[in-house]
Amino acid sequence: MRPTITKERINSVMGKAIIVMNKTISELMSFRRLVAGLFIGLAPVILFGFVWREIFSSGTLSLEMQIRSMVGYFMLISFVWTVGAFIAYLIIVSGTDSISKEEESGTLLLMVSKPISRFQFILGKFLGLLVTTLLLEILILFGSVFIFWLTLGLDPETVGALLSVAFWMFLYSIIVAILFDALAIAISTLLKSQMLKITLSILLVGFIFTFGLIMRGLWPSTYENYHLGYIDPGYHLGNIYVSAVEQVESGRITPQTQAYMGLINGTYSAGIEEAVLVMFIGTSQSFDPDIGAMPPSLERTNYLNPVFSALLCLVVSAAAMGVAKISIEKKEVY
Amino acid sequence: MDNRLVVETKNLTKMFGDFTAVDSINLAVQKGTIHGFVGPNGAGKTTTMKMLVGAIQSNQGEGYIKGHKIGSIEAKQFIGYAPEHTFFYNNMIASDYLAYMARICGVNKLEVRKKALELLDWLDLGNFSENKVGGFSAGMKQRLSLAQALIHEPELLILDEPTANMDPTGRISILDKLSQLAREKEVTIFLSSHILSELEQVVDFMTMIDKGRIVVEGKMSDLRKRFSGNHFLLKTSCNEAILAVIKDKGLFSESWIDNENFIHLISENTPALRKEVVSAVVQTGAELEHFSEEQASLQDIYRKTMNMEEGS
Repeated sequence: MRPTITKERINSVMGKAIIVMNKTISELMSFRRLVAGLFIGLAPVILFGFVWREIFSSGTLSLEMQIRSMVGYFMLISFVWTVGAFIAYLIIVSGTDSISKEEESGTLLLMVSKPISRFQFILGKFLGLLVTTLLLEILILFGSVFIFWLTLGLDPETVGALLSVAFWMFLYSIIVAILFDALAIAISTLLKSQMLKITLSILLVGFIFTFGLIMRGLWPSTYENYHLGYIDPGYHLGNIYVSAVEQVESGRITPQTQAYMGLINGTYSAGIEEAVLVMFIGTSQSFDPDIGAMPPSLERTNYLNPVFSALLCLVVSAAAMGVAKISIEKKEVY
Repeated sequence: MDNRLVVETKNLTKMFGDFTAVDSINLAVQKGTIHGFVGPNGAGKTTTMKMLVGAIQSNQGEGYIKGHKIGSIEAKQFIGYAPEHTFFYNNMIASDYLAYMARICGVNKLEVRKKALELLDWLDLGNFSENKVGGFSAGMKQRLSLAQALIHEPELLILDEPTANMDPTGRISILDKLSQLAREKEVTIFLSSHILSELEQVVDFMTMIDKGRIVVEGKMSDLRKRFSGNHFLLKTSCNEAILAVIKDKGLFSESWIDNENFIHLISENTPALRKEVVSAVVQTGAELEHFSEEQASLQDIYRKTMNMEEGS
């Protein structure tokens, strides 16, 4: 007879996982870690804030263009860093150690002797890391807007536009966090060697974010003809990201940002040539619609529906957690 | 399934590649008893205990804790386990650590703090409840390890060298507390130790293991008799005369007088020897100072079982 999924059953599974989650959160939310995370997460924003200050101080942009170009910059920097490489490495660094550290210190031996299933234990670790990462992401995303406002003296409407885009970026970061969290937990249950974990993590993050970039740059026709977009994790993440941000009116990005997005994640039909072109013609004057020098909008590649991309990320995450479950349940703890 | 058995294994085996660490062992630990588990290093004690708590899986055979398969959540609910080496989250304070372990074991959230503090008091760690575990001495860590094993009031304690790294006072105190638990709360205790003289003060049953196999097992009182080898000690005011009288009857296979003037007699015919000693004392008019059947100590049993020579 198939066991029925009752509320009590879910509570009993989640109950102990939540106890582990709470402890993981208290471990990860130390003041030092929080300050270090905020500093590293916000560093590029602070840096670019001061660089862009020069552009904005020229005062030649209309309000609409200020909003659109600012949102574009924010989108790029967030995709590459805040909800990209930063969040990936933040999770990988903490997550790949989460189980193996307990194994090395011996505390896993006690834990497996207790009446908690091994899956509940890794689920608690997964949730704890997810919650702390997302809390940090909220602080960094909304902190970025605050820093832009401080350093660039933005118009309130621009700040409002950035805040609404930040909200959608945060929703996107949930999917990224789930994906990397599950991968990190799986690596942690599979590998003990620190060197191997670091190497694999760097390769994995590198593959996810640069596979498509390299393929489209070097062999664009192969990428198109063999539909490599379907297996390009960077494209799927970009597909979700762009679609999420475009949910708000202010998220309609400039052709310049579209070209960069196309180059980085393949969501727009843009190769290196287009990106270089918009880089050179994309001066502040060329963006002024009154002058009429705006480059034409680029087309979305639409290899796949963004909902499918999101589901695929969740399926990969579930598969990684499945691997972690099998691995921890088979593990001999000495 | 015997309801009196808290731990039962049938041909439990663990192999590491070609090496058989635990070889078809059959354990039977009765409810409310203190069951010693001894053997030389590498005999398979720790491996067996780890299989019982579900940390490692057996290659063959099966085991049950109160009728539940070893390694199952149901079985683990009855177990409190303290491993040979103590492992903690060193940044946590002692009471928080115990509270966390209690919550993991399913203790009600409202009760955990009270239980943790009571247990720390009972184990003489009450003054350190707010101290970080990382700063504890080895002996304190050993007691805290016992505390985490006891936090959910388990019916079975599996303790691997619970008095290692402790000073004599600490060791005696822990063994007294274990006796108290078995006596007052009917907690079944399955423990290993290398300090045989201390272990024999508390154990009711004993299993000895060597090279992964059980070599001796049984009730402690039975083992003492079994290993005494019909060994009698006799001391009188006239040892030589007494020995000459008994020798004529051919009631012992071996005899000697030690440095403290005790006559040692090894006899298969115990009732006849007893009678003859009494009549020899009467006949010679000697004064009887001591007459007893020698009980084997745990160390004697261990030495004989492991085929170790005296003094080796």
